[in-house]
Amino acid sequence: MKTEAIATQKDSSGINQQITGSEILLRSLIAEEVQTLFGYPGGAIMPVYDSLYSFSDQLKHILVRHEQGAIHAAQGFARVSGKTGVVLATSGPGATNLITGLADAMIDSTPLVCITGQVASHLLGTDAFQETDIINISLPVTKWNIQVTRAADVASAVARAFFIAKSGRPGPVLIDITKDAQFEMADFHYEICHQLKTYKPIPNPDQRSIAEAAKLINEASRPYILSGQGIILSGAQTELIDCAEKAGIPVASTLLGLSGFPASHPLYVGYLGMHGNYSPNVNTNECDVLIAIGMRFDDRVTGNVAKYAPNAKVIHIDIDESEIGKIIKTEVGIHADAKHALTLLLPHLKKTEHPEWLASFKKLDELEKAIIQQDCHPECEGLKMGEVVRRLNQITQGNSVVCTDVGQHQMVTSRYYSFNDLRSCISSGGLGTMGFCLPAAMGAKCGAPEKDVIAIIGDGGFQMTIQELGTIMQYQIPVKIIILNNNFLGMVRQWQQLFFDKRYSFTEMDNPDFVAIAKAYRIESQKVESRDYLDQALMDMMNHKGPYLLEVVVEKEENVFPMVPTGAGVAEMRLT
Amino acid sequence: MKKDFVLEVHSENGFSVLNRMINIFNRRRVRIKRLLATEMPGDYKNGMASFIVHATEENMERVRLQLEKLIEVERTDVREMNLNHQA
Repeated sequence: MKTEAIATQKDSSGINQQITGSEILLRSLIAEEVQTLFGYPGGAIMPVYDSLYSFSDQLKHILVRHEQGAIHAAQGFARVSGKTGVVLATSGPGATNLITGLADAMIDSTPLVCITGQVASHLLGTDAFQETDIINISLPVTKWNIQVTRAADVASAVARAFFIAKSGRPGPVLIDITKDAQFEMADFHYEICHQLKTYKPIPNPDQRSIAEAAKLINEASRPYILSGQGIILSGAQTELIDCAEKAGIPVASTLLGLSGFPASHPLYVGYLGMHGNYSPNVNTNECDVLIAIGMRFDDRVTGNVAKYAPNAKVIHIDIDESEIGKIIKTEVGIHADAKHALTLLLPHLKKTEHPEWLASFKKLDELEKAIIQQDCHPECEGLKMGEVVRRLNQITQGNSVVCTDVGQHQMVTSRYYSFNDLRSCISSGGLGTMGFCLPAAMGAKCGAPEKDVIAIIGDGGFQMTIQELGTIMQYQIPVKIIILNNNFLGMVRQWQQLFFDKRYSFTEMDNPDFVAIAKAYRIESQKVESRDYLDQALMDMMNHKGPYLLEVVVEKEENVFPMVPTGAGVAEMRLT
Repeated sequence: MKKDFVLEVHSENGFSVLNRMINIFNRRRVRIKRLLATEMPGDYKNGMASFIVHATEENMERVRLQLEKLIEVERTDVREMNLNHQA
């Protein structure tokens, strides 16, 4: 383990001073420059919370209302700030309540360090009160985890955890600390971890692969870049723009890649996926060289793999070697950090343009215009989700951080909000976790207090983590919450309509008065049902200094199009 | 076509390392036909697990890459099972 010593606890005479495992934990977090924690106390983590009482000037702890809220908040914090999110929870149910968030962070590559309390070491395996085997339960949904039973091991566990969570392909790490280890006294000496014997997070890209990729791109007549979250995680936005501009390559984005390439850029052709834009999906099957960067060919992006990009030679750049060739056969695989690979690639690229190829996207865009018109300028009486997002985009000029939950509103927001600033799109991608948005927005606001943070949520997902309104109230976290309320689990209902013969099996919702609920939490709120009042309501929300909830009643049975039905290829995308 | 492979995984010897390895086989529904896990002689901090598994070549390669992703795994060696020489 390669380390860098940065903190030691000594008394006034310079002699090492023993402190508790709990204090070692908190001093270790401070050594990692942690300032914000999201958590919830309980029996097995009480020594840590007791120590936290003395560190409240250095560590800001946000008391959530449910551990799932804590971990999603930490995810929002990490995604917006690029830092590692930190969570505290107790043993048993406290720890198991983190599982959804761990799975979400694992699949979406979000760096987290979760610290759980555990029963005292002599009780391990005895079914003691609130004992659960969180190490084994969390194995498949953590990048790494460790149980600590001695105070002397706390600091090195924290150091390794932060290194592992953030480096390479980021992910969640869990440290389970027994209660006796929290009480026990030990010397404190903290060393930042930079290297582990068996873990090589920074690959060295093969120069031959870079040259082969450049040759394919330079000889291509219809090259096409698919930009994933790897661009954001490696901070490669500039390098991507440089490569795309030099070689004249159109760029499409995955859901998690949104904001990695400016939506206002002339080479940006749209958003990929089942409910993405028409031209970037359809033209996937027309390109002759496909350059996938920091993305993993999720089935929501590829549709039917057998019908995916049949004319393309595929170049896949990814920091995770196991992703290369996993789904799509790859001509050139580059195992590398996106920024590093693009930096090496740029000098090999010929300056060129592909005007006809680029024009083909514009031509296909024409076919989507009718849908955009219906979504954003509807003639129906009720409001539609698209027009709400479009107006919000105009009012905020695409400069806010926008968090979404999962479902129709998520797809509509991804289509109609212009994500221009890096790290401005926060959504649950791979896991599709309903209930993600409200706590994630709360965490995002803590991670980027200078930015406007807007949560766009459906009525279903909102009620999955609605309790976090209490956290928002207590800390006056000024997030702006828009509930697009159609009194349905809209995406499931859409599928029931299209593929299950309109058998709306348990998708209609009888909802409470959301405005009254917000008011009960002392959060300013209003409900809008008419187009005439939409702009004013959005302005009221954005101009309000504190948290705000805006319920927008939208059309009950709206469908999101275009759409690639299950089993279809991307070129078979349906416009209606 | 599925075949038998011998897969040796050299790793640090922590409490959950073997479970992490087995999870990878389970998730891809790769059948473990035999497993031998051992500490390295005179070095309890490092270990080696030798698996005989039944899988397609492609699945074997995906599993190997997943195993190499594990933080504690140092390296993997895979070879097709030679029926004349039991591993």
